[in-house]
Amino acid sequence: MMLLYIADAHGKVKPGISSSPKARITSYTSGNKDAAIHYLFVAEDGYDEHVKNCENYVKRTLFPFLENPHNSHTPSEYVDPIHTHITYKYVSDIVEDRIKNHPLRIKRVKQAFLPITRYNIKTVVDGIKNFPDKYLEDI
Amino acid sequence: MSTQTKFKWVANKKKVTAQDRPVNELDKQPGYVDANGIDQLAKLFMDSPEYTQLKKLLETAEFKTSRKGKPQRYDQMPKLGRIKIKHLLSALAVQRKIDFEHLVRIIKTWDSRRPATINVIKLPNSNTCYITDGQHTVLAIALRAKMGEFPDVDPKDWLELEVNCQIVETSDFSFAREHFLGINGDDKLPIIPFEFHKIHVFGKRLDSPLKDTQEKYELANRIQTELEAHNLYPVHPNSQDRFKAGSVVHVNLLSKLDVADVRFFGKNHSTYWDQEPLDSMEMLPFQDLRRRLEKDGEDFTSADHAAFMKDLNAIVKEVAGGWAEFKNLTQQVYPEYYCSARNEDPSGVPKDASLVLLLQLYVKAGGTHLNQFKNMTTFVTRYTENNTNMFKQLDVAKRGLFK
Repeated sequence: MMLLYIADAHGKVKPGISSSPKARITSYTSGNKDAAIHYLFVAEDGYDEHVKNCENYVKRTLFPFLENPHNSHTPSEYVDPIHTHITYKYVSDIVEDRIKNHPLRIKRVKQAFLPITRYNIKTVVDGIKNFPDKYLEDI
Repeated sequence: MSTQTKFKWVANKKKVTAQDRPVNELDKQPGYVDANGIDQLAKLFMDSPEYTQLKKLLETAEFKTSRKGKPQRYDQMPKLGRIKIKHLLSALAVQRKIDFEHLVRIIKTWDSRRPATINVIKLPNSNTCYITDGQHTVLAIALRAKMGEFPDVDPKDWLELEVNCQIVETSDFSFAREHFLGINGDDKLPIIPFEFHKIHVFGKRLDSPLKDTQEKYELANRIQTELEAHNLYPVHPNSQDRFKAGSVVHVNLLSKLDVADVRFFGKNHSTYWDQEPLDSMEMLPFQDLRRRLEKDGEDFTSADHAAFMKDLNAIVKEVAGGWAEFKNLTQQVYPEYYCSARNEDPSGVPKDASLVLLLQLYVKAGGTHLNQFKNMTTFVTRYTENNTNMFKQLDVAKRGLFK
């Protein structure tokens, strides 16, 4: 199961993909600041590459706004906090536009199960696997 | 004929606007000269983060220590002078061996306007000068003089000719060796394929728009014109435009293509993937596909062909979302196929593996267009061995899409 998340990682907006989100969210937690996934999207069975396509699109679109302290040609994957208009919702809208327009076979985790932290991620991921209709909705 | 496979093409609904496309840096008219004064360029640099970083570095003790023993004064820079050929020495201690092919190339393509300043080190209190850069140029000048190729030089005076030199007076050979490396590569920004393409296109568009010019300029311009006809625009690989709709980053591949190849993939890209940058998989694999189909007698204007192309694009979109992801999928499944078929790891992924996988998926999805072509039918069976193939290495869920 391939997931696309939009997380608060180390206090910054961070889109990414993972098939093991629990390890990922733990790695984004530092000090007293818990990482949280604000939006989560899930590939339908057989469509993992659609999530990768969506991630590539999001990174292309966000490219001018990604943190790049060394002015490198390959910036980090974190949105630079100076771009305050790039919110979790803003990134989520980019994802949803791509899913609808391209289109891609990806569903969205219902708002009722968000945000996700390291404390509830296992429950949510198990829920997506076992009760997809309850947790997921079409875009 | 309508499409044949179970996958139907679904177009991207997003409309591409002019802002979504990269700036076409090669769309220039004769007379175009984008000149900047050094003061302007300096200001540009001093406003950049690179300047801030450099300024910090110059102030560090570590940097200052690293410069010890390296002259830093302005008046210690090389002096310009003219030195007689007979006083110039080529020393293997600081230079490469003379390459006769390179020498012949210089003489054959001679143009007296070309910069020909030689770099030398001059031993203090002597006339001995060692060439650190430009030995082929000096030899070419000498030989052209000796052979009577300079109409204004008496061949018997060939060793008395003076050449323009940048002279550093030193006996420090380690400096000379470092200088040789710097001038021949280490200190130079390499010319990237985008720059080559740009210079060749400008060679036609700016310098010779109305009359024939060198074939490489003509070909680059024909390729560029065909790309533009399909809203495809070569961009510098570090440009912010490289992710825009129709950007062409893999300019290095253009020299391997002819106009018919560009027309083939350009038409496909603008028809199906107009919102996307051009992926490398749409270039050489498409060239391969076109040439194989042509060899088998495909009618590229037929409805059958159009339906076949639509099917291929629908499969890519369904299975991977796009060409880049399809290519990555091949990179993932080919090693698994090879390992399963031969019980050993492959040394790499063959260049045609993505195309073979795509055509195998086309057949698997019910496509029959290739059945009429003998060579294509054989090509599709590549990478099928010991009862396995790349399709069988796809995960269960993905194989399930083909049921």
